Amino acid sequence: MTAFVPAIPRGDGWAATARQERGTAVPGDLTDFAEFVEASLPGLLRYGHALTGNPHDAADLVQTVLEKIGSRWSHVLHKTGDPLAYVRRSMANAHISKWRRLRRENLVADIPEPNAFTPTDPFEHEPLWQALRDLPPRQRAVIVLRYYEGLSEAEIAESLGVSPGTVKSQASKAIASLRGKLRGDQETEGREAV
Amino acid sequence: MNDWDGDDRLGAELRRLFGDERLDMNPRADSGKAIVAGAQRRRKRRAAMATGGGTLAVLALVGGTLAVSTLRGGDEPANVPPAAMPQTSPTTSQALSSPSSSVDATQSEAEEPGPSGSAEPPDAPASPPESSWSSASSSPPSMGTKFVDPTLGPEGYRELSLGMSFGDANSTGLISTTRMMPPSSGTPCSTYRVSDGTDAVSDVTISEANGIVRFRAAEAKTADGIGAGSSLEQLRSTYPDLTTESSGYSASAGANARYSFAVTDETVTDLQLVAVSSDC
Repeated sequence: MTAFVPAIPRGDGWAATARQERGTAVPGDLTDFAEFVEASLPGLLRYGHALTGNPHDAADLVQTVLEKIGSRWSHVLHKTGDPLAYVRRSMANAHISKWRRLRRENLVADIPEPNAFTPTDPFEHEPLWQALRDLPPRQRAVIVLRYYEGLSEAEIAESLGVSPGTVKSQASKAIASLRGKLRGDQETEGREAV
Repeated sequence: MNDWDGDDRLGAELRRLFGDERLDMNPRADSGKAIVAGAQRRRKRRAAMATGGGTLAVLALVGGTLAVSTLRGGDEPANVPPAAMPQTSPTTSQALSSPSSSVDATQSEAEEPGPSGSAEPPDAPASPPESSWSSASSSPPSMGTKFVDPTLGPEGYRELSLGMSFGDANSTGLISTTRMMPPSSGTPCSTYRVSDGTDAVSDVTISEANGIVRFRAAEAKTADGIGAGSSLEQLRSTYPDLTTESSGYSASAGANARYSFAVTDETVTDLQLVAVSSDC
């Protein structure tokens, strides 16, 4: 039935046929999803802020991931007993896979000096926050999953779909880099290469 | 060495930082609605594609703009009226960019848990029938029509081009000006979602002084067919002039721009078109 659609449906025909075909687009589960979003949004934004390091990326990340998950909400509910955890894991993965990694390294690199328009970063005077900002996304995600979410090494590996060995090595690099930066700040006020 | 527990002080510091109330963000009152609407839009698009993918491609090639406006009708935000679509006779690029939505709609689902290039986590959602994790061209529709990836060319995407002012960009009807968070006051640059009904390009960054300075592709590829999902080998052979960057590579795209490719595990994971002169 799906293989050939000889006539070209127009207008409402698209949606109507599709709905029939897929059995989706039931508004009921979107009502449920709306409630879920209402309840979880503040926490997810906060988590996104920790993951991405800035509010704008956090908002974009949360919106993108929730829209995707919402579009298959009943499937997600069916699949997992804990949709919130599922959303958070999706966020961590989305952040790693394609999130803005170039923005910091490319665009920011073009402006050596801060200008008057730079918005105030509430964590401006937190060396640790600044050090976290320089971690590659995957390392940062490992740190956030560990210290924000409190996950174990095995749980992190499962969440990110990587081996425990990878988690361990990413964590080692991240911790070493954070330590190095913090030490560098303390001693010389200078920067230390990653 | 076990870094997790070996440094309690750093761990304690990290926990303190992540518990800090300054991480709190206040969602805008209407953001829930925006998300639900977005979810619905994705769902409709996918559902429509599930039945009509091949047909749509043909329809789009015959009359690209018609297909797009039909598809978008009713589920786009009010500020992006379907009428904003140019009603000129379909050019090649228009016709080619529209069928992409069907590919994107299914392909984008694969992005949920599971980083590119590594094993999928056990809870990765089952993909819709014709979903393909690899290149879009590998999943031809039932009627055998050839899909062509949407293109992020050296000038830009569709009617959006590098250097275009916010006003001009906005009047194309291709960008969404609603954001979940209001832009920071005084920032010379803002990022706007591209909402043309496809997942080709996810957003553009617009500087007050320099106009559009950056395109971030989602599923779109360069004119030479390189984008997320391409192998490092393909990237290298397509762009012999590659320059190494910290998380990937860049290649020049005309005199005033460059393509930036993020590469993870030998696979391109992110494509951006970046203006050489940018104050963002």
